[in-house]
Amino acid sequence: MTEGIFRYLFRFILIIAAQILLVSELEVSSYFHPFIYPYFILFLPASTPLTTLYILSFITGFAVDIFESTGGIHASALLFMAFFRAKVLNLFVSVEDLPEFTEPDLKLLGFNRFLVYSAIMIYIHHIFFFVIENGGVSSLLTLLIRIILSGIVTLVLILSTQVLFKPNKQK
Amino acid sequence: MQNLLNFLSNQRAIILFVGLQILCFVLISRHNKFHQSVAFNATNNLIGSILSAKSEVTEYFNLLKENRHLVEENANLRAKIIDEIFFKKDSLNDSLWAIPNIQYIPAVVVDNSVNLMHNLILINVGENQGVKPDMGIISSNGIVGIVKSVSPRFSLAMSVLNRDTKITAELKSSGHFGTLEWNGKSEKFAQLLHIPNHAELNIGDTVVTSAFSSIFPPNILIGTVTAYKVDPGDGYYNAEIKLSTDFKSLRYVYIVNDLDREEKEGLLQN
Repeated sequence: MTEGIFRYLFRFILIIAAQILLVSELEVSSYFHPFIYPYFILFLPASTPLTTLYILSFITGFAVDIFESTGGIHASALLFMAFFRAKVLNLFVSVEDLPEFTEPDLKLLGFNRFLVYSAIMIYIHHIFFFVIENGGVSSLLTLLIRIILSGIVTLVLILSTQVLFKPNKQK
Repeated sequence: MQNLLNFLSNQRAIILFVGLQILCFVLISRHNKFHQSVAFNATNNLIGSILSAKSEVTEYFNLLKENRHLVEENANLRAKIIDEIFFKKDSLNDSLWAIPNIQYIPAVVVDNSVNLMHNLILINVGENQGVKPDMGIISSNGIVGIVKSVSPRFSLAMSVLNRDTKITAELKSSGHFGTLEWNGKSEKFAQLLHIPNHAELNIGDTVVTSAFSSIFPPNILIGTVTAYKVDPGDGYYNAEIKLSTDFKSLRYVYIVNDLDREEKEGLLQN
């Protein structure tokens, strides 16, 4: 249990550092703002209690908010994503039948289901993030382009992170 | 009983979710309204230091471009000195214009973004160096932004690429002025709005800061007109401005400290 907490603490620090130091630096244009930090919430164990999930989402999002000076936009968007997590996850696996501490990762879901699960969750996050950041749905076309483009890059980032780090996770 | 407990625990999660969302929106609105608060943003000492360390690493990737900018700036300044000393064709002896009493505080950009709607710039000087909110920031290529909040060692500034930033700008050729805003679409272009329609406007016209601004010194380059059209609503011109500052590789900047500012603003308030 303690070992598990340390593992997630380590992952948390690694993901926040990757977001701040690498992904936030990818400033190709104003249409393009990918994220890596939803990874942390996406792949918490499927059995994580909702309260824990919400608190962790807030902390993760707020950590990014502090560095990016965005107030609480990241925290809010990540909370919305966490809110839908159990419902989306139940479309793909029966969460109750899984052993404790099983992560909804590539290995468990298989490539197709993993891709759809990640995509749905990432777009929930991105829609909330960009709409709040935009202060509503004004200049809709720009908003849609930003959501779609950034979502694709986020998806690629999260997918490649899973593929890269998968060997480490298989003990 | 079990059902009741489950029900309560589910409700607990919903209550927590709503509570945290309210907290988020309080933080967002407080962040937008009370610009002076520095408790939870990047001007915090620890956060600022981490971002400084990062920018020292990433600096190397832009070194070549930065050096070229600085060399160009040097060349321009040198040309100006030669103009003024040898040819005396300067503004210094022109008694019609008061010499602006301006101090420039050099600074390094520690963190910067171009892909938000409200882009902010973190710089490595603060109260200790005399920076105050509402001071302008310029680079060797043109205007950059306006200081929003300061801590002892860092300042957070609104970039020109921020939908809340409004800067008075004028056409260099005719002196007609309008408001420079950003529509959030491209980091290379801003919009100059409300130019009177009797002004002569051409593609390629230079846009500079206005002499009426107490934030920026007059005649600092903003960009050039690339397109314009008449706003059907009010009949004013709206122009698309190609910004002269490259916000993606921003590094060395100057904070504009207008030493006469308090006096000027005191007069205006009376």
